[in-house]
Amino acid sequence: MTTSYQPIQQYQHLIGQNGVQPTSAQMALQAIDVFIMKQIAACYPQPPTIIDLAANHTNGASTILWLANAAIDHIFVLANHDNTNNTAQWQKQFHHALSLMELETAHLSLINEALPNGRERIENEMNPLTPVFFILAATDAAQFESQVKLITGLWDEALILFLPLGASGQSLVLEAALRFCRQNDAYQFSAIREWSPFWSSSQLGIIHHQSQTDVTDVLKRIQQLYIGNDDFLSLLRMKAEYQIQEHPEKLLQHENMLLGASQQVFAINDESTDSVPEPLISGRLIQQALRRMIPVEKQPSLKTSNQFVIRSIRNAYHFMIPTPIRILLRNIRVKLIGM
Amino acid sequence: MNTQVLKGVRILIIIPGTVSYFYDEEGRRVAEALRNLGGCVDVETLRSYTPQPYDWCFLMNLSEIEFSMQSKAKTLQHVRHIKSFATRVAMILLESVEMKWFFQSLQLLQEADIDILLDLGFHNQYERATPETRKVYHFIFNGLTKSEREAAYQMFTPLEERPLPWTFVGHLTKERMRFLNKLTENLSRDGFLYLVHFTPVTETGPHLNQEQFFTVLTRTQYKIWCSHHPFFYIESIRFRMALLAGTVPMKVNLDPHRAFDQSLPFSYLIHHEDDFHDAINQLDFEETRQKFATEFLEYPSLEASLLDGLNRLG
Amino acid sequence: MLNKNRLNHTPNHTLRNMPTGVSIVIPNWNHEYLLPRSIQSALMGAKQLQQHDIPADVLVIDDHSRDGSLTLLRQLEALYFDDGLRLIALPENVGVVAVRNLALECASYRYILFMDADNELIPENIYMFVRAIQDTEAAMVYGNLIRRGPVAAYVDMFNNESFQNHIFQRNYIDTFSLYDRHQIFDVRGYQSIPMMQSHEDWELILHLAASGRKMVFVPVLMGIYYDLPSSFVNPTRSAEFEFERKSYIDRVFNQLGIRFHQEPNTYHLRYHPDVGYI
Repeated sequence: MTTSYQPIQQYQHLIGQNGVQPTSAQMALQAIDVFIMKQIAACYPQPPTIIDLAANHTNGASTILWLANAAIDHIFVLANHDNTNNTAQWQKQFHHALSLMELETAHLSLINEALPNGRERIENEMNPLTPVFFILAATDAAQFESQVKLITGLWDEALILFLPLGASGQSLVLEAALRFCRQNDAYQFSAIREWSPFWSSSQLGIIHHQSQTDVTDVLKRIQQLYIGNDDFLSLLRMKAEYQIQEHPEKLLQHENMLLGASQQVFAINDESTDSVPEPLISGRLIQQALRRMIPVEKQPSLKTSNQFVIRSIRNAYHFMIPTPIRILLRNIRVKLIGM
Repeated sequence: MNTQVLKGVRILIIIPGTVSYFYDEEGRRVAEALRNLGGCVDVETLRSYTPQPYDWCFLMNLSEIEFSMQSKAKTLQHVRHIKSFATRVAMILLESVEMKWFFQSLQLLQEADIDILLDLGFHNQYERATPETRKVYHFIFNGLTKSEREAAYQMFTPLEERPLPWTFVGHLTKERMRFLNKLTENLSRDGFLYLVHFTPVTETGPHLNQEQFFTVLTRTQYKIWCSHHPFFYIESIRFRMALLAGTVPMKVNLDPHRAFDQSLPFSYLIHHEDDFHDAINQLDFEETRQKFATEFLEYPSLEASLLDGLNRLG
Repeated sequence: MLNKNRLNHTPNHTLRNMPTGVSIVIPNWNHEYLLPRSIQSALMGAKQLQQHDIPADVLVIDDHSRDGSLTLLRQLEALYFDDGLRLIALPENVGVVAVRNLALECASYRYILFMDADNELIPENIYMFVRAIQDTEAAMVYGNLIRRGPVAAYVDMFNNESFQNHIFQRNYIDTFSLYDRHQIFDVRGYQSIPMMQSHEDWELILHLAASGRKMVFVPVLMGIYYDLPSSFVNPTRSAEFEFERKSYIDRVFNQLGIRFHQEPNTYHLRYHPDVGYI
């Protein structure tokens, strides 16, 4: 993500110095989406041709994304002058920034047209053997839907990458994408955020022809980069187990705190309400008992097996006996022996 | 108090004169107190004293004096020489009577054939002392001198001017390291921490001198320390330094048996390592500092303690 | 942009002035299970600085790990990118010296805090170190490190004294410190010298001292250093080699024992931002 996004940050910094602020863009590109788009292009069987329809909306950042990505064949930027102040500004700074960033531009074609007008020039210049990726800024749902229909009418096997997707249940763009695919069952829709929990913040959506099986393969491949041996729950469990092993007194404190809170439930009038005594059986007591039984000089050598035994007993006790029963046992002990 | 009660009494105080400032400073304090009682006091080292008649000679820690002389033989030679012109000779210590350094000094005392040991401190250690020690032992309460009493509140700056939540300074020992672990886990980790490896105190060494330490304390809320030995002992020097710097002292007791006499001075500022953090969290800084100062000022002054001691010794 | 050709070279050009801020750099080589701890503490440190209006990020440079670190790092980067976590994954193993020099080139901000992947930063104190380095204009500031060993009972402290002469005999100042990138870059960064292999940080410290730069001890806890079994690969050296190394150090940094007579600028510098020089 870092190295993928760095050129965009650099570009935004450069044009920002000349008055084109990142916040003036209609759409911001997120690092996760930049990375995934770049990876899709890099993993595709052939370097794709990119048709960037999002340049005006991103102040040119979407174009930089691809220019900094060596794994494409050609990029066509359809950025018609719409006579807005913003468009004129970023386009003025664009080339200057490119030269400062020393990016290769031989495979860049800037077309001052919108679809379908620019199609002829694109078809004349592009390599027809390359797959075609369209990049759309879906800032307006109706416009997005008509663009998708237009694109799929012109290039039926194009891959359409669009953002932002918006939140489920609230996004008209999402509804438009789903509607299009329902009405045109040759097409499939994917929301990138559904592919991995680590992509949950992604706003990228993909519409592609069902014959484009490469897309699914590539996404699975990228998804695999984020699948490790440990999910966060298992890491959390390991950390908790380590803490129990190394800091049993803290676990005891925590148990005491819980038991102290539960005392109110049982409403026991205990003189020692300020300091909650140890549970009836706890790993700590077992440890202390073992220490008393085993001579001091032998304890270090037995420490490892000692810890394993104690841990096992403690875990078994906690696992087998439910908390309310443990509380009851503790309270009985308090009543019987006062500690 | 009669400020001329020792008028005409000539007193020599021998300080180590090394960069380890504790005993030099205590020597000067004792000198100030005795002068406030009218005594005529000279403060010298074993290299600088002038042989002349003295009624009393106080040796500030024979072990430290020996270290500064770099020769036991020379030290004892000088001490015997002093005995030839000083009517009474005593050694002053501020140590736990169970420490090995105490016994080193005691042995020197015995070899020098001196039979008076003045323990300057906050609590009488007679009960903890060995039978040999008891033969020579006399307790003197290490109260404040007149100038210290006058300066007691001078550095009582408000909490906002004390950005250091705590200060922990000393030699790095296994016990202090264990305590430091608890300090950082249970209290906070953002205090002033300066524990250096055990090296002799020299000008070029890493130790903080008195002035540097005092400067740090004037910006500190709680001065935390623990002894570098396992024996219970209240370091009067540290409490006094805390008062004069306007910080609240907190002594941490590492004694595994935990118990100590709660009637001892400032017992509410002495806590075991397992619960000191609870104690600090429950304290109000300004209130505690005021209480500490008030109590300290109520105790006998050093002048009164010394006079009482000298009277007991006849 | 990252220039991979420079990876194995020491910095040989001038670094343009970087904006004030802190990059916490964690070189990683096969420390998968320890990364969450170090990264979490670093992210918390970055957050603390941001609360004081000091920009900060956390840059992990993975030196071609083979233990699954990269997968975990990708996951963490995706989750914490907006919190300032950045990852550079190197396509080949280049060694820690090259990684640190790369960090000097690529980091976003003027100050760099180097920490190892198996260490832990004390986040609430990092602001004090930043204040210290700004106030003193030092090349490097460092603080106390608690060292925890493989068993709970082992705990020690180091990095706990100012620069003194005995550093020529034995290094006691760890890399886990805060650096002024401009100054380190200007003295050409870390050097990979066979005689100082595995002690390049010591070499840099001596080089900085000999170059008149300041290294200031701040009496505050900086981090926790975990001494784990086989934490890093450090070949044992013969007594002969150690003697040769000592001779090398004396020859290069303390010829004729001059440092004992003419103390360097950095000698005995101790500073706390709330107290001043001590």
